[in-house]
Amino acid sequence: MATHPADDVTILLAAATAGDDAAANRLLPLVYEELRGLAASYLRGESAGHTLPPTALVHGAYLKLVGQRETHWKDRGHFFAVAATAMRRILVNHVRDRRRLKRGGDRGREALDDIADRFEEGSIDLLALDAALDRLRHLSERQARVVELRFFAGLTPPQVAEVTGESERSVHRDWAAARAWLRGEIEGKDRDA
Amino acid sequence: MPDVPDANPDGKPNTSSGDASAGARWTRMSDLFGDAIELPSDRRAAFIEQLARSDTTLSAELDRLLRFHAAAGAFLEPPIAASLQLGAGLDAPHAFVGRTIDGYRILRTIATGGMGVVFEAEQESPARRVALKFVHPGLASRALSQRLVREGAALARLRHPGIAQIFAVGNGDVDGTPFPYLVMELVDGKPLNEVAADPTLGTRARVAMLIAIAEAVQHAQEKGVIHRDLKPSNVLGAPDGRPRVLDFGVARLLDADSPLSMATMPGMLVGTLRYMSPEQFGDGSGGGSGEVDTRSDIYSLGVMAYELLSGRLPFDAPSGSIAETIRVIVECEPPPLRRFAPSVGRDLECIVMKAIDRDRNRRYSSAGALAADFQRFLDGEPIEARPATTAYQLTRFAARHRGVVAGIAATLLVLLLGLVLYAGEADRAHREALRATDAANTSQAVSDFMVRMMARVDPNRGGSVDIRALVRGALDDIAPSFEAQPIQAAAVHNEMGTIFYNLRDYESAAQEYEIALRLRDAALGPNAEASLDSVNALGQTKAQLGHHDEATALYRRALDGRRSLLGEDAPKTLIVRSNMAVALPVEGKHAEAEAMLREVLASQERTLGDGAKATLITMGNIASACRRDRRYEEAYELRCTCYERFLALNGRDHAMTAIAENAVAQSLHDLGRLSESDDRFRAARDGLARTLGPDHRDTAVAENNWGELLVDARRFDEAVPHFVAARAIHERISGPDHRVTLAIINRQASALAAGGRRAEAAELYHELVERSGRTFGPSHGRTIDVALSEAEAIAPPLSRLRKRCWYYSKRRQPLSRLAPSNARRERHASFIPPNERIAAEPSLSER
Repeated sequence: MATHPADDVTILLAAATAGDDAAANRLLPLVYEELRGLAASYLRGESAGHTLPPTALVHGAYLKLVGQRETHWKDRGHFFAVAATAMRRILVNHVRDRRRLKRGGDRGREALDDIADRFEEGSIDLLALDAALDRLRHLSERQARVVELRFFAGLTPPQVAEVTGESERSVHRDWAAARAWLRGEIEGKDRDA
Repeated sequence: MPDVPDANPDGKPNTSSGDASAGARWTRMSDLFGDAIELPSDRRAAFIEQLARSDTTLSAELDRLLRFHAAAGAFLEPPIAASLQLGAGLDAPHAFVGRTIDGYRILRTIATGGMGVVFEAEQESPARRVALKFVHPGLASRALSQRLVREGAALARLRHPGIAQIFAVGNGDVDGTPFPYLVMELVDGKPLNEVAADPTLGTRARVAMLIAIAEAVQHAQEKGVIHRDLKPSNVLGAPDGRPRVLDFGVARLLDADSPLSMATMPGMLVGTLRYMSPEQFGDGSGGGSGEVDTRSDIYSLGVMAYELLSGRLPFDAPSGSIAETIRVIVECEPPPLRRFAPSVGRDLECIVMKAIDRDRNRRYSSAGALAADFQRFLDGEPIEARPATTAYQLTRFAARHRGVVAGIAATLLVLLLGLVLYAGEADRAHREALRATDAANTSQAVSDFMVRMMARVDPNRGGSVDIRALVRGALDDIAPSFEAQPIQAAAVHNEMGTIFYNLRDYESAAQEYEIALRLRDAALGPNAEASLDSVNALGQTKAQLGHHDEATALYRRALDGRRSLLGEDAPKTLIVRSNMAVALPVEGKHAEAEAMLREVLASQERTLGDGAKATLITMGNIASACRRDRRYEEAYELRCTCYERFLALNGRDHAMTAIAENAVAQSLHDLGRLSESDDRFRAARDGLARTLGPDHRDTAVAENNWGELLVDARRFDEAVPHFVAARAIHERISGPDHRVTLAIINRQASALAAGGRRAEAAELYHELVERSGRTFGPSHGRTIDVALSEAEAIAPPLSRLRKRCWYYSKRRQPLSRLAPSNARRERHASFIPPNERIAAEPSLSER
């Protein structure tokens, strides 16, 4: 049946803002699909020669799903929070597939490769980061969230503060602690190994 | 400090078991860590030492964490993401104020944007105030740093009084985060758009500013620098009156010339996009895939000139959507400047339009050439720019309206026959009265021209005429044919106006009529009959465009002129009166209009006879007035008479006959005589398709009217194909998002829903919500009506509908809008405002 993505998203966003976690969970597949679709279409040669910044992708999904509807920043923030999770899953799955297939032999370059490359530009191993983030989540849900928002959706600390309702100072502290811990997790392990 | 249990030696939290205690432990660690990093770095060691006194594992862990912190650098900093600016002021540039970075003491924030923040800063040596532009750390990359070094020096060599100089570039570091920056001349001035908002700033002063800007761009081009992001906010009007262009080459430095990489801030982006040339969007027809050269800057200069002179941009993006804005820039022709700024001279228009030509090969070759042409304009010398030839414009017109092209052939034929007859008539009847040789020469010349045009049609090619080739070929002959013959040239322009008018391209028609009128005023005088013909035609065109004041003024002039030249009861005088009467209802003067029409009809019957075309058109207009007044019986009688007389006059295979029959069918519908109406609609539609072609607007009107009848007859399944046909025509000739197209789709969906085909209806409504959102805006009442219709068609569980209602009530809609309405027809009627409503009336007009 014809559903209406933009409305659904707006409604779900509003619900998520009001504290409905189930709504946020239902948003995820919508955003996920949108991001994948956008990545594929943007990079299917429609913008040959351009490297697509991942945030443009997230933003594209935002424009497509929510559009110019009047939304409160809080709603938008929730969107980006969900988009961050979606982006993380997409990229991690992609990198995982990529590694598996690489071993299997030839493999054409795919739409998501460029994006994954951009994320891995600073020699970050996305899979290691993903695993470490999961561990961090057990220690501090809040800090893991901050990292997702910062890293995968590209929110600035004040924006993260708006989305999470924490103070800016607290966001700064969480971010710094999480970052140091994650670096220890990822690089410390590399060094040990 | 309390002891922390279960500290494990390597300082890592335990992740496999005991989550709760590990979490608590980590929370404590995080707090300590947070406190530590907030201390000045020289006091952190003491902090750890103090902690070690009570808990050595804890202090070791903190120490390790702090070392990772110090080494973290740009670790996990969003790759580019920090450039996301989701709302103004959300970032905190004020946090920088007061700090000194690389010898620049930051005084205040000047501006924030998608690329970064601009501060006013005080340089230590040499001591001066500068503008310090910080690039968002998210945009920073090794590549950017390298580009800064490589190209920054070249930019710093740009020295021109019209360019805000770049003093230096650098790679700064703030608390471990890289902050590339540019140091620029601090210009005290207002952005160009604010300067231009001053209504006392005259055209010459505006042109002088444009020259200064173009000269600055020229200087940069000579040094091999392309700006790539010219727009009014990048030009400051300095107090010395000389504009300064900011950010030369910075767009490239930041690698931001790809629209996608700028797509991080919708508001900013759309504002910026509108100054970008089509080729910057990688349009193949623009000659390159995103390949930018000096001519892209010329385009942006042209757009700024357009805005400075007319107060608006060549392209409007009412929806504010990025995709739509790009589509318009890449696909659409910019409307002529003087449409929005009639007082601007033709020369100036030529210059601006040349600068913003979609084809960059047709633009000025350099900014200097543009500046020189502006200067010639100021000096009163002949300019270099030539208006695009009519042939060229028509070629583009044909390319734009592939759908109507088939219709043009028929129009041209009709026109051609009329002209030939007119020439003959002029020969016979008006030779003495009309300074005959001239007039006959003219009409003969125009006829010859049209005949030559038609002669190019290859009869062996069958029924389809490649009208584009035809028009292109013929119009190449205009200039050589009518050199030093302004009267003949005027006649051709007038005829071109008529072609456009018949094609419903009123904008172009007005342009051609205006040229014709100007030529005729100059060559023949303002009271010549031919001049008055153009005045009347232009009046009709303006009325179609909704410019009623202009139309009224023009009609007034035509009426006065024709009265004194031709007499009160002359056919042409009566036609002007008829036109004026038709325009009156716009002002709400229905009774007055009808009285006037009846007066005209009486005179026409007396002087022309009751079977003359002009008489019949007036009669048709009276019928429409009756209908508007709900006097359906009377309207029907008049329309029947009208139809019979058109049949007698023109025979069955004539568009006028078919249009008149469509009117009869509509009146039968009004009277509830549905099956009779059905038969007449069929005949009318067939006649229109035969005479005007399947792609003509009037054919769409007939299909639509017929569909409406079938809906009222509750024959929903039969109605649908008619709306589909009308819609297909309008999608081709008006565009997929045009409001008339939307109105027809709305009817189609409504017919589907009424016929029980809910799934199809819902799908169509869904599509319509999208299109309506693009045309009217997503929270426009019409869009919401459609969205509600969609919800109804889905037959939703109540909760969903309630969600929608909740959502819409959050918007600005009054609750009354949310009540399910049975008055479907009313809702559809309200879907388009009256003056835009699909022409339900047969289109009868005469000039």
